[in-house]
Amino acid sequence: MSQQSNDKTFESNANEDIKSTRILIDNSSSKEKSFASKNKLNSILDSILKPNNSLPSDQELTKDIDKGSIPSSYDMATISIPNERKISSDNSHNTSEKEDPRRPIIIEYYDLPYKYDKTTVRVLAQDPNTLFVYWEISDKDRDKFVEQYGPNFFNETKPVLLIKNLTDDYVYELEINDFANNWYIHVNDSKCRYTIELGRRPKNSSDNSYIPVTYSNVMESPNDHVLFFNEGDKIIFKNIATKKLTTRVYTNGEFGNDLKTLYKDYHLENGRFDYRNPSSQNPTSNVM
Amino acid sequence: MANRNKNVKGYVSFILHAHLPYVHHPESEDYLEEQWFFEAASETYIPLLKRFQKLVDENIDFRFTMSLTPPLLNMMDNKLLQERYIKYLEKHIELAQKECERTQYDDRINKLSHYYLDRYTEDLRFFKEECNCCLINQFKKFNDLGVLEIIGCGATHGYFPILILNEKTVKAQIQLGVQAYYKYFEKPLKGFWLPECGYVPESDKYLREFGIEYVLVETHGILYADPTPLYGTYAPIVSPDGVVAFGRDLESSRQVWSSINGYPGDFNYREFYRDIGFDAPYEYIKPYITYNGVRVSTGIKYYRITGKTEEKDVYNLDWAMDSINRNAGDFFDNRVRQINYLSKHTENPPIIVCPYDAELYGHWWYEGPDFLYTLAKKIYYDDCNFSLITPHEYLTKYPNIQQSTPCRSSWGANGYSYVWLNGSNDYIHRHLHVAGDRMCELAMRYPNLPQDSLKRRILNQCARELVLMQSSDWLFIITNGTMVDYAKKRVKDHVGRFTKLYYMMLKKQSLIEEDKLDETNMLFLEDIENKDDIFPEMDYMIYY
Repeated sequence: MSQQSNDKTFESNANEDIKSTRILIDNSSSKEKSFASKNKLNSILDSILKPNNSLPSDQELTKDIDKGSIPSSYDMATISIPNERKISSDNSHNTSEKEDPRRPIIIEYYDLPYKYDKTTVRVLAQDPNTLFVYWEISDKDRDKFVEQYGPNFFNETKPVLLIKNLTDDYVYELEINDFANNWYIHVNDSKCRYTIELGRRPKNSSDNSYIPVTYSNVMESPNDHVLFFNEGDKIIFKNIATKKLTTRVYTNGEFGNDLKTLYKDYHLENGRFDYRNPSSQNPTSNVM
Repeated sequence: MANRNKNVKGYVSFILHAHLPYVHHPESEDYLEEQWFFEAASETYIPLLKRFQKLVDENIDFRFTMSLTPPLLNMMDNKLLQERYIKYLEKHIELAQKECERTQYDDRINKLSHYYLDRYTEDLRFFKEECNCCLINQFKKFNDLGVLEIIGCGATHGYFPILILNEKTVKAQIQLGVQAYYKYFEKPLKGFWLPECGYVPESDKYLREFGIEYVLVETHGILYADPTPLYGTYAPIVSPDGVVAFGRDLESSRQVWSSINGYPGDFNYREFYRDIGFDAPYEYIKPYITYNGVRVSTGIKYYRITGKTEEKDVYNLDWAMDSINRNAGDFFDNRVRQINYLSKHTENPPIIVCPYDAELYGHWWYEGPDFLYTLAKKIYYDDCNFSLITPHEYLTKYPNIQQSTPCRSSWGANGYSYVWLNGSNDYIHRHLHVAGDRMCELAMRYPNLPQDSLKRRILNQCARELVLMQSSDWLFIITNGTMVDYAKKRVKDHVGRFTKLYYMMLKKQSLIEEDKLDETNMLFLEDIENKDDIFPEMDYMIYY
């Protein structure tokens, strides 16, 4: 992809979207465009992007905003350029498609926003013993902390995650760092509901205070073994046609033998089953 | 079930999941990824349809279940893609004709060239005359006949365990999936293919809301269920919210999938990687590969697997047929044995559930569709203790089911969410979550807009961008390292378009109030409406 060398002239500032004008021409799947047409493109772009164009002013853009600013890394431009000639390098060009020769080409280039400026922490489960957490602290909240605790707040504190196991009722703490905005956490207990709290602690270890920032959703880690039964456990059956429920009681004799026989087929080890079940879409590469 | 007088002690249920990510690029003919659709049509969908027809013509009763995902249905129904597919076939006919000339130096290969010429010619005829250029017509025919149960799937194959952080987005994926089904099919929708078999209990209530009766899960989705299913994967379970889950049978899936011992590895079968796209002289093959000259598969392959060797022997159709018969017989015998044994230990006749990607049959394993045909025929005619069945039919016969919640699981590598959540793609999820939240926010802010208003158009397009970015395919592709740049660009494009529309709605409120947009933005909207035109009837209010 080629980049305008003078795009710095058009660098956006945080409160605008359309004015940001880093144009990239995506050549990854396009036919050969002639040198001449590329130049024409550039000159058209130049004329649109001069200061005295008719793009909305700051005031117009910000008048009705009740949202925060757009992250400054969000760059996108759409320019419409009259498509003066069909660009075709070979004669197998599709002629049955109705192509309006005057239809403009829209050029798009997007970066994913590097921040959304909203304080959040969220947790997902990668597998029974691994959680994935991501977070962000908004500028507004940063300012609030600075206002309350002083300008050096973020320098003098370190971020921590409190990992709360709601099922087994315990909490532990994990120190992270300010260069990260996500983390993988190993947890010992599968099939438990976890929630994460993001907080800060002073770097000075003699100070034990803790400042909470925000907390996450609840996510249950998946199960990773066969639960089996205990003598006397209730087993419920439902007739999905009549909706009627019946209850049976598990006894090692009556159900236990059949259960053991059937589950033997799965070659469980400690109640765990071997996942090297061939997975989808790649049958020739999964080895059994 | 197939009605023959026999002592049925159990059932076998084949479920084929047909899915492709939505790839539609009206702006250019150069996207290699559109080829996925054309290849799947030629190598899987048409061969399967033709085998179904053969069984019907021969009065053989059979049952298969298939999921056709909404993106695939949308693509099958898309005029531009239908036109391009015809061109694809015409080009292949032309190539096969040239091959018939070029390969005259070898009788065996030349015979195959003629075989491919006949095949592509017949495919073109079948597509134009019997399908009327839309494959869905034929699938519907078999659905109406009662031999092919069609089940639904999530709107764009979004992976529920990750999207569930905003439950409305999962509900919307389900709702759009159900709507897409009813756009093309008449029979009541009973089953739902969870994308990647990604099960979370929280989606059950939404499935029930749309009348879904059952889903499919991976083996350990059943084995690790709470409480433990008494009959393993040989009987379904029903969750407290009322959704039935069937689990994949281990033994039969390994027999088919395994690349080492599995059927597709039989030495007589066609070798996937020896394609004239790679083997033929460059100048000769150039018009039939990619526009920028990169060699790709054409579908014309002359060699068989032969063995664990680089030296490949020429493919022989008769020998392949022998292997098909042998494999079908082997599969058949194993199920008979398995069901004899299991039926002694289960309360109801056991059900052996065999879900596969439809692509396995035909695309990866060229002889797959013939295997299914041969197997169905054997099951019908031979004296055996089982029948083919669909999950819904099984539930009508045996409605008494153990209540249990399946384990949060998937059928991806490692059995959980690793494939869609790891170091290579975890940067994406926050964007999906934010966009989902923003979509719900937009629906709340602008409920019930008038049908022909511009704002509604914009919000509907927001919803399209949202579901397109949610496709689990992008995450999968990035993990597996195949067309990574394309997948990453798709995510960026949809997030970018969504975000631009979002700010357009919020910032330019003065223009929006008058239901107008300036020219540039209008052109932008029309452009992306043209490119991202999935779900033409999208109604943003599903996020309300």
